[in-house]
Amino acid sequence: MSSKAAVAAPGRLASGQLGVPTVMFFVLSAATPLTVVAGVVTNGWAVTGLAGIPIAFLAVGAVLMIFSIGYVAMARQVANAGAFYAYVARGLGRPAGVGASWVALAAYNSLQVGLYGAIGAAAVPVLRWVEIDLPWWTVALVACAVVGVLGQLHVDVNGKVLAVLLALEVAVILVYSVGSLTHPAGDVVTVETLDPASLFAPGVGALLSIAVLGFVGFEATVVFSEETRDPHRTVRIATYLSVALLGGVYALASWAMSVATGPDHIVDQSRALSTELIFRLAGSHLGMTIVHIGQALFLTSVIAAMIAFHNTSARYAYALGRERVLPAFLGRTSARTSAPKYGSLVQTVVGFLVIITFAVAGWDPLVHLFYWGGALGALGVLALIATTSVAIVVFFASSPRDEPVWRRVVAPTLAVLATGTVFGLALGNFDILLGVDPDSPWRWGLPAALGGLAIAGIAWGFVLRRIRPKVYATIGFGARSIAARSGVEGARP
Amino acid sequence: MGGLTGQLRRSPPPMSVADQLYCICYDEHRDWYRLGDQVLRLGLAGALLAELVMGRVVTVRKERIVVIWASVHPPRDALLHTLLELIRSSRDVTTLQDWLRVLSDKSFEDVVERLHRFGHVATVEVRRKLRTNLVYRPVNLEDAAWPESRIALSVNRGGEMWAADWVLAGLVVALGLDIHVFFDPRADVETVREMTELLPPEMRDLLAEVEAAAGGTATQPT
Repeated sequence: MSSKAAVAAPGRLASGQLGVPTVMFFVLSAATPLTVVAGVVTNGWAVTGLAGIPIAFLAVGAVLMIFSIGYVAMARQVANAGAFYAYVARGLGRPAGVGASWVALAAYNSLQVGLYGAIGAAAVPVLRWVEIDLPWWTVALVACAVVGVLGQLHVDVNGKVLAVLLALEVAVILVYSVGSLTHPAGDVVTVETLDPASLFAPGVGALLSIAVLGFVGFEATVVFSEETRDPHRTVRIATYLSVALLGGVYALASWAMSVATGPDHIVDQSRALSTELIFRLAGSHLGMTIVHIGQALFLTSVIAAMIAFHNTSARYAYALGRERVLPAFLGRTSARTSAPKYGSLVQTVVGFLVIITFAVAGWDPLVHLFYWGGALGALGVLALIATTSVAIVVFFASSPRDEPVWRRVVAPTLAVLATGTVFGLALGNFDILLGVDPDSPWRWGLPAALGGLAIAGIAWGFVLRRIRPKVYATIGFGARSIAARSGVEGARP
Repeated sequence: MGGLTGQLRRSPPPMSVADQLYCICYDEHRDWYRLGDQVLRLGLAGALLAELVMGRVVTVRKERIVVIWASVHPPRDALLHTLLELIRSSRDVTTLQDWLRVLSDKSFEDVVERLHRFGHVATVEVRRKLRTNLVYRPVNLEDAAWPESRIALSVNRGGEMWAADWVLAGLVVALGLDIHVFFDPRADVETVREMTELLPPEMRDLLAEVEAAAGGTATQPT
């Protein structure tokens, strides 16, 4: 080994070079704002019939900020930081961790598979330019195959490509928003959809769930806890800024849309135009070029989100296979590409089967696959965030560490109240979120499925404790579980 | 190597562990490597550390690499000597995890250079569809195939093997090469896991850390 490499490498490890912008960039690049603004928000309006989505983004942003305080503080003590279930395993015990991990796998799966419902709608306008007309499921199956192959090859969308896409998406959203705000309906810029009163009206749980979808992925900042120069400060600031930026962009974009149509018409317009709404609004006052740019970016945005969530789901299944919480074959990698090949394959097969089912049954891809998939995912992620909040309080109560009272007691307790309330409201308004009758079987069936998974996971955790204590001991370690199993001292989840 | 049990006999291996691992990783039919670059480098780094641990010049305590200052046998091999000096002089890197990462930067070049020095490999140009690659092909394919055949046979028969060979077999499992090497991967991996449990704790920790790090590459964004 030459002295040059030898000196350079230890230095890099010892100090850590990552600053706030790098960490933020990593997290935000996985956020695909146009998917949220053009897809989630418009469908949210159409299905729930409630106008107050913009204020919900601000409210959820604030709740997640409070949540982040304890979350970041605990991150350094968690081996598999970035995965909520590792916090739950550490704070509330390993069986609870297994339950949380199964819910997480189902939630991310639901979000990923749901995106196959949006890809058709996103591709149609772009395909129309070349005069191709395809049913949505053909596009979805092609997308599923491409994502599956990329997953097997261990290909992520390149970070720089994501950065360019993110910048373009945000730019387009800002331009559209300015266009909308300068052409308000009835020549009045109203702040009605930003009125906090919506947060105390019936159906608020549905609005908050929709807003949560925009933030999924913010939890990844803490994976850099060990690699930043000043882990505490850098990761904390990056997390707050990421949440603030996302909340700001989403609130602005959705508010601007409601101003352009008028708050009274936003629901009708969303029902009539669905994902086309934001582009129609832009087209009416900005010209068609920028509309086409936006439509192309919506397509790339959905594709990027699909790949990102595919990899997240595959890695979850992989980490759990590695821990032996799920069958060990899921924990195998491809020798040549290091891809989590079976985790990825299972994800692809699930997507394939779901697309085929929806195509054969003739269900609506946008409402029943994309939006419902998102709704179920949001409920799961909310449950995870609320449970993680409790885990953080319990963790700091039993081992205070050197954190100030604000970070280990006050903020986490507030976070439990806030996230618990949001989750309770979301569960209470799940029928409104789905847009079904209160006595529809889906209304309780879908949450019950998640609850059943959680209970089954907890039970499996207890079974593991009895029959495979070595496996039980390393729950929550993810890919590092093998090192923990070997009895390496000092390793705790 | 210390702490040997009755089933693990002491003897120098014919080639060093890292050299043999290189040969196992080399697929002579495709003239390319069975592992991706990152995992290959990691595996070779782990093998080099294993050589240092077996030479009793360093050990592993509480996840950290610790130099045995009282060691009376400095490594004869030039590469190991350089690595030991590096470990001695870099006080700011201590953990096994970090050392694997650091040594991975050049482990491939280091091992290839050593193989070259002893005439085990030759640089060959291999034509691919669109480009030409330089590969370091084992000179004597029979010699190169020997470590793989030897451990595959011994493990499959559940027979006796040198401790160094169990380390090599442990690395094969840790790196996910078992499907390429073993006759009955499922059963043979179990045998290797059972037998490597008998190795000294520092070696078990090293193998586990290599496996954890190799597994970690699957969850990293590329």
